[in-house]
This record gives sequence, structure tokens and C-alpha cells, in this order.
Amino acid sequence: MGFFSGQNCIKLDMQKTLTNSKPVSEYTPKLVAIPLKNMAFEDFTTHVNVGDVVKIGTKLATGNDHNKLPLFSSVSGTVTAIEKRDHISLKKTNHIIIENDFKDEKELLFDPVEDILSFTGDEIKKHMKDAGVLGLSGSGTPTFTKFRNTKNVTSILINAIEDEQFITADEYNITTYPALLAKGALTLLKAADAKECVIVIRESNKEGFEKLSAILGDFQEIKITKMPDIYPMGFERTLIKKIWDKTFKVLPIEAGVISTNVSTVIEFARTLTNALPLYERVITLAGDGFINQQNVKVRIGTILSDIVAEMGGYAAGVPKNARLVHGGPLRGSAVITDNLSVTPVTNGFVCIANAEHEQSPCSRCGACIRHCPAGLQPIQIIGAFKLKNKETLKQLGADKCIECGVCSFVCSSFIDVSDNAKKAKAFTLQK
Amino acid sequence: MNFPLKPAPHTKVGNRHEDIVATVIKAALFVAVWAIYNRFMVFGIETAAHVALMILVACTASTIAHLGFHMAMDALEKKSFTSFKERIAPYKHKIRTGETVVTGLILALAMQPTAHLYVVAIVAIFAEIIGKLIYGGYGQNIFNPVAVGLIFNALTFGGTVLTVGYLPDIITQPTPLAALTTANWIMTPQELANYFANTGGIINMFLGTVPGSVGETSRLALLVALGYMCYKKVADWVTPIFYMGTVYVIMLVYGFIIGAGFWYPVAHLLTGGIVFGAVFLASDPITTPINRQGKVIFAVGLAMFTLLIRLTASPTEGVAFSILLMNMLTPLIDSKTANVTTENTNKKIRSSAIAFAIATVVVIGFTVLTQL
Ligand code: SF4
Ligand code: SF4
Repeated sequence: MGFFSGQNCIKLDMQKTLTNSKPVSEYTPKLVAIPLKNMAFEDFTTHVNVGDVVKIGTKLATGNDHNKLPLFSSVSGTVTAIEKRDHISLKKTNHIIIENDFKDEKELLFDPVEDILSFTGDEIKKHMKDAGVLGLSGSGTPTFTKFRNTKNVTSILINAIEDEQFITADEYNITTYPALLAKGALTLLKAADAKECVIVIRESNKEGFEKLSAILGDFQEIKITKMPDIYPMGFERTLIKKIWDKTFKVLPIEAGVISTNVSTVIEFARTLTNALPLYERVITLAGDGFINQQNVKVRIGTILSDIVAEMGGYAAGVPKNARLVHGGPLRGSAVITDNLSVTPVTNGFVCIANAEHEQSPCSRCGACIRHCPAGLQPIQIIGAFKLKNKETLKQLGADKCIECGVCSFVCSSFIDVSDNAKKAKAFTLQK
Repeated sequence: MNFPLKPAPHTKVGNRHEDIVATVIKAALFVAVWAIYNRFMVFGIETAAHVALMILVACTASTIAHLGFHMAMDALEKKSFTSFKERIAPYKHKIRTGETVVTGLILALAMQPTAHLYVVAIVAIFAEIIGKLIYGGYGQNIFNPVAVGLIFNALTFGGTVLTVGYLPDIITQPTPLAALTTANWIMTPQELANYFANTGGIINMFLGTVPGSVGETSRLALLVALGYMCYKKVADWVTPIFYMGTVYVIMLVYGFIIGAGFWYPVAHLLTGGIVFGAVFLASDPITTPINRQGKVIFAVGLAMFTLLIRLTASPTEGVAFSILLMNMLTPLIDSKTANVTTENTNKKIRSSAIAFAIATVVVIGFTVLTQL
């Protein structure tokens, strides 16, 4: 923040109270469709055929690269088809369709132990890989890849900020399973052989903070840090700079930090406890396009339209002028249909009933400049980008854009500022 | 169920385009109401009514100009419409948001209350079309439409003394600005005290119960309007405050040199259109630089030109002329301040300080030279 640079962030009404005060519903579907895709990666070998009987935790497929990412069934039942369906990435993707027999039989990954803290570091890492633990914040990175080389790691950062509007899935996990979070943090410390673990939490998540502090009182090595309710705050880069005053080029591990999302840690602790891979998660349905805005616990692979139907459906007028977003409205991406299945990285869907905005010419209001966290002048960058003027783009620091989207949210003329800033960044970086 | 695919943003924070226009209109209306009330209390109902009519006429004229221009454009481009409803749909939106009246409204506030209504109408139409629409409308114009209108008024109708038959004489009394010009700007503290006494005192000049342009006289109302626009984040306080501050400081230095004392800069701020220009013209984001560093340079340059014109040439419309001058420099300032806003803060402070020093030296040096 400064006189010449403006405030560099936006204060947002996070609108969390819409969903965080309501009880969580549970919904078990008749049918799940497990996408054979993790982020951009879709090269999987399937281990099941149509007609096979599977249980919760049965391995369905394995990735064909060095990560060997496994995919598991989230229900017990019969495989009825392997077919192409719509996917949150907007591309048709192979899915394994399983009909639920509601017996909930389970296939364990390993023999459960009394206390998960008795696992050794190597065992923890092995289970992490075998259970296909993913970064649930949306990155979808297999978590074990962060633990491959832990020589220089001194700290673990658990990101519980959840600086998205509407979405409260993480918040629910924190307030409901603080003990699992503590245990998960301890196992990660062990796996990385690190000294300290910092959990960063949003200032306004008071309940989560209290519950965590009550449990963490006994553990010296785990600290909780509160951060103000502004956006962007949940970026690894911002947090690591704030907490340890360290910077890094590509990955936080360069600064000796492994950064994970809070739900990832909680779900991993659960996996270690019950020897089952992630097969269900809490997602947030929010936005005025849904009649009931609330958190729902669903199986991985549940189809969104089924959930919405179960939860009371859409508000009147949807989908005309409406917008359906996978993830929160700040960083999420719009999708074109609700015939999609929930993936491990799905933290919620937001449906905005009236998202019709008329774009108008830039009024030079300067809002994008005042708020850009990287201190850039987005509108000037767009201007230089239109002229393909690399010199000016460099001068404007177009390559420093962190792609947070703030400039678009604040634009009074509804211009896709950040979209163009991202393109300008790519253009500047290209040789 | 299928949904339309739209790019981000999926959410909206802060002002929308309509909110910006609406806020400016509210601020200007506040000044207008104050001005009408002021005229009513001091000069009587006829003057107040005339001022109200001026505002009404200006708004109507700019709306008609706006709609007429667009309809003419539609006709030229041979756009076909299936129904009358479809034809007027885009204009309905513009009228509702107030985009068509904002220029006329501010323009009426900047004019002398002695202006004939037909002059007000012509000037408003000119400002709307030549100042704004031929560039492509809101957001595209490089010159401030209000300043364009004021210059047009000065050049076309300025020479003639306009007296409106039914107005009381008081309104044609010399304005404080004219009185200050007659005194040739240079005054001793004694003269300055007399001057303030003759024009009704500092308080009255601040409240606006003195002769002068419709909306210019009440500095109090203008500052409230500025505060409101800044609070709503529609205007950045930097340009107006730096503008007025620079005028103040340069005139303070000048006042000491000529021995006029501490109150000399106040006389400058309380006369003419400096405060009005700061609040409604310099704060306009479209025609001023977009980042803070540019805004500071713009404000300092604006103060320099205003004072130069005021002290050495014509006192009226000095603000409007200098606004247009600085509008021309805005693209240059923007391109020279193309950088990362969080970097090189010291350099930015230095460049602002240098701009300030140059402005002071130029104004004082030039004025003293012409006095010799
Ligand atoms: S997306 Fe890039 S340019 Fe836009 S506000 Fe974020 S960092 Fe700045
Ligand atoms: S926020 Fe939008 S309207 Fe305002 S200056 Fe940036 S691009 Fe232009």
C-alpha cells in the first residue's frame, strides 16, 4: 500500500455466512461418474471392465506417467459403462460410470493402525502416493511430489485462508475436524522432517480459530496465524513473503516451504486413519441461482444436476442470463452444463442467476490500477498489448502479473482486463 | 441444463459504470440545489428561477444533442430496426443512467447566471457533440467536454455583455474575480483586507453568497461534493487536492514576494473557477492521467497554467483553458509514467517535486517579468 501504488488488494464481502451457518446435508447418489482426468492429465490405464463389481476404495485406473496417480471408486456397486462425458475442463473426457448398490463395502489400502502418529516418515509418504492424495485447493498436484526431496525443507504451510467468495467447504472442514487437522499436520512434519508448521487462517473465521487453538495448545511446533479478509491473500507467494519474508521463483520449496491446502491435510489424515482413499468431500453450492445455498457432503463422481435436484433445484429464471462456475466466483471457471461430476478438487459450484453485464468502453476510472496486487497498470498493459509493443509491456512489468483477476472484478466497465493481462504476460515472456 | 459460457469476472466489486455517472450527477445536483437556494436568499426569486431554468435547459439540450447525434449516426449507417421500440432501446438505457445530462448539468453550473437561456442551450449542445460524441462518446473523449463548452462560450458569446431583462441589477455587479483583476492582482495587506470587506468577506465567499458563476461561488458546497465523490471512489482526491494545494503554495510564495501577506492565496482560491475546476473538471478520470504519479504531474501543471493565464492574460476561463492544455498533455504523461506503480517510489517523489519547483519558478518568474 502506498501513495503511488494504491491499495493493492480488494476488501470483499466474502458472503460466507450464506452457507457456513447452515447444517451440512449428505447425498449419496445412485450413480457416479469418475473422470479419468486430473487437471490436464488424462492418460490413464483402467483396471476394471464393464460389469465388474467394485467397492469403495477399489483402484479403477492408474496414470501412465512417473506419478502413477491412482483413481479409486467412491461407491460399491457395478461398473456400467466407460464413456465420454462433459468434464469441468469443458472437454469431453472418459468417465467410469458406476451404479451404486448402497452396500458401502470397502476395500482397504492397508491395515489401519491405532494411532496414525506411529507411522514412520517413509510409510506416510508411501501411503500418500498410494492413496493418490491431491492438492484439493484446485491445483490438483499429487501431494507426494512436494515431499519427494525434503532435504531443505524447514517449514510446512497449511493454507486455510479460503479467500474465495461464497465457498465454505474448507471452513466446514476446519471447524468440524480440528483434531484431524492437527494430526495431519504432525504427520506432514514427520514426512518432510520439518521443524515448524504454520496454519494460516482468515481473521473472520473465528470459530475455526478458537477450535484449532484449543487443540493446538499442546503442540509447540504448530502455529496459527491470522490474516485479514482481503483478496488476494491465499496465494502461496503472498503468504510466504508475509510469514517468512522469503521469495521463490517457481515452487515454494525453493524457500524451504511445502505449502498445502487445509482440506488436503484433513483428508489425508482421514485416509491414514481409515485406510481409504478420498471418496467423499464437502462441496458448497452457493449463489442466488440455487434455491438452497448450502454445503453438501457428496461422493467423488456425483453428478451436479443430481445434487441440485436433491437440494431443491434452481431459482426461477435459470439458466437464462445465468452463469455456473466451478469453484468460487473469483478464481473459478465458468462451465456450460450441470451434467458434470464432482472431482476431488471441486470445492463448490456457484450459480449466479443474473450475470448479464454490458461491457462499455474503459472509463479510465483507474480502479484496476489502484487494486492490482502486483502494482501494475492493467489498462495500460492492455493498451500496449493491443499495439503488440513489447518494449512498453516490459516497462509496465507485464510479466509480473500474478493472474489474480482483481483487475476484472473492479472494472467499472466490465472489461475482461485480467484475461487480457494474462495474454499480455504470455506475450511478453515469449521470446 | 446448459449454461451460457462467459469469461470472468463472475463477480463484481465496487462501482459500475452507471454508479460513476450517478455519483457525479448527485454531487453536481447538490451544488446546483445549493446554488439555487443561495441565489434565492441573496438576490431573490427571479435570479434563483433563472438559475434553475439554466440548469434545466442545459440538461435538456445536452440530452437532445446526444440522442439526435446517435439517431443521425444510425441513419447515416443505414441501420435497420424492426420496430420503434428497438430503435430507442439503447437511448432509454443512456437516459436512465444519466449519461446524457451530466455534461449539460456541470456546464450550467460553470456559466455566469446572466447568460441567456438560448446561449446555455447552444453551448450545451456544442459541448455534448464536439466535446464528447464526435470522439465516440463516454470514455473516448480526450478533451473535457465542459471545458470545451466554456471556451466556446467565451469565444462566441463572451464579448457581448448579456443582461437578462428581468434580473435585478445586483447580479451584474462585478464578481470578486473581476474586482481582483481590476486591482491588478498586486495588493498590500491593507488593500487585501479592503478587498475582502468589499466583496462580502471570506465567510461569504466561502459559502457562495457573492456574485459569480452559478455553481462556482460556493466553495463549501463544492468541497462537500468532492468529498462525496472521493468517498464513493469515483474521483481520486489526488488531482483536485494537489491542484488547489499547488495554487495555494505558489500564491503563498508570490504573496510574500510582493508583500501581500498570508491571506493572499486565499483570495485566489476564493475567486474564479479554481475550486470548481478542481472538483468537477480535474477530477474527471477520462481526460486526466490514469495513475497517481501522472495525476500529481497533471495537477501541478494545471495549477501552473491556471495561474499564468490568470496573472498575465485573461482572468476568466483561465481554468478551462488550462484544463484543455493539460488534457492535450495527458497521453504524454500517461506514456511517460508507464511503469510498475510499486517500484521506484523515491524517483516518483523526486519527479513530482521537480515538476512542482518548475511550476513555481515559471509562474512567479513570468509574472514578475511582465510586471516590470
Ligand atoms: S490479474 Fe494481473 S494485472 Fe490484473 S490485478 Fe491481478 S496481477 Fe494485476
Ligand atoms: S477498471 Fe476498467 S474502466 Fe477502470 S481504468 Fe481499469 S479497465 Fe478502465
